[in-house]
Amino acid sequence: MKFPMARTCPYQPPPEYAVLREAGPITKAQLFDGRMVWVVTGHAEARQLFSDARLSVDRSNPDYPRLAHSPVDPAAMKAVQTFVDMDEPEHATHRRMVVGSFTVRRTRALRPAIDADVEKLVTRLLVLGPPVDLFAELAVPLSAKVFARLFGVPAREAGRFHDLMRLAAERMTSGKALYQIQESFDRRITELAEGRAELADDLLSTLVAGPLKDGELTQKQLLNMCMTLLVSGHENTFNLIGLSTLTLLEHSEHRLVLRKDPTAAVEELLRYLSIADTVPRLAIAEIEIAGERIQPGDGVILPVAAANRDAGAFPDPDRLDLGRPARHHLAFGHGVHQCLGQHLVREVLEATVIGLFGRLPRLRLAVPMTEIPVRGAIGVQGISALPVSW
Amino acid sequence: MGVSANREVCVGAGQCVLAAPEVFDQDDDGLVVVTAPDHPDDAAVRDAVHLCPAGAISHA
Ligand code: SF4
Repeated sequence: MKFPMARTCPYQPPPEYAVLREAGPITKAQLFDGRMVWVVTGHAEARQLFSDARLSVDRSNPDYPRLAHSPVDPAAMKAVQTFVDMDEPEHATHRRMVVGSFTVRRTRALRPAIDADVEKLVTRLLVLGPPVDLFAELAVPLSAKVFARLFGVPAREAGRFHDLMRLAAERMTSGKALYQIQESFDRRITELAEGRAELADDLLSTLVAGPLKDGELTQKQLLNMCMTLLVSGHENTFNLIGLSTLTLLEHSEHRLVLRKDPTAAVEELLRYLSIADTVPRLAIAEIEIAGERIQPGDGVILPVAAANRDAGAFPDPDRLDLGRPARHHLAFGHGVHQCLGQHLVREVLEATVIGLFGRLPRLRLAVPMTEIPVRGAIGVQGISALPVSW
Repeated sequence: MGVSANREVCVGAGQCVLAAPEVFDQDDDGLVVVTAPDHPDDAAVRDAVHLCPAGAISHA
């Protein structure tokens, strides 16, 4: 069986995961290049492996498992490395430079602004009138607004930044729009560092006033860190908003639960959708787990969507149950690399579902479900259009 | 001894703050602070211990 496989239904894991699960919590599958890797479908095993330092996240290692063909230039990859592909102890040093900007308190303080963003965008939907593409008119622009604020994009550049974020969302792999964003961040960092722009409490300012000034990061490293956060943050945010909305449209009987306990609903959506599904790791020492022996040099894939549908951790796992306790899901991973932006994405998703369904209770799909374009096997899962009416 | 957290291994994921807001907070650097070390070992604290991705929290 070739791994990864594409979803057939955008909010269900690929049907082949059931076959993998049959073979045990840890089994083997083949990557596109013929390489055999471990695939972990058990929740307990995935949780344990996510926090095992014997699994490396260093993508610049030539032995690191690749899910698709991509040229590997270890030196070039090392040069742009950020904490997401660093092992300890470098990882902790770098991650700690930014965690202060993503605390529960800091992200909660952003909520009123996010609510206002949602309100503005929903008002705009009403002006446009049905049918509209919620992906293009809500998911992507909302993510753009959130990240403009996080990175302190000046008001005069906001229009251009939004256009570039829209282009980036259309083709996450095409680097042109991202390159232009990177250039504007680079200019901004220089302005802030040279005192030509005023420092505020956005992420660029924080990194310039701290690690850059103290010589802990070069400007290049700072820029790479910001681009990593922007790219993965944006991609995960718009995909999660799009797919969550679709899922709720297809399960309209749940709307009441959504209103009663939106916080629990958000956790269940995160579990159920598991959009950052296929996480690769490289074993750098022997690991014994579930009766198997993972050898150094082995590739290990953690398909989060499989772990999050393990009946041992979530009874009746394929049922969307917005009221269930789901906090122990692995949608954000586990261990020291657990998603940095998780509280921000929780706030954005909660604000979206409350704001959207609150104002448009009769929201429905404008096309049959089968016509919704599903993203491919590689990368963050989601849809690329969502035509709706009300 | 009560609730304790190891700031050396904390990665600032904030799971503890979500699980037991009366017991944990994050400082400006994002790292865990125990605000109520004498808190009884209730479900919220056990959740925090279990959910902390870095294994930074203990209760003894
Ligand atoms: S959950 Fe663990 S890693 Fe996260 S802030 Fe609390 S102690 Fe630190």
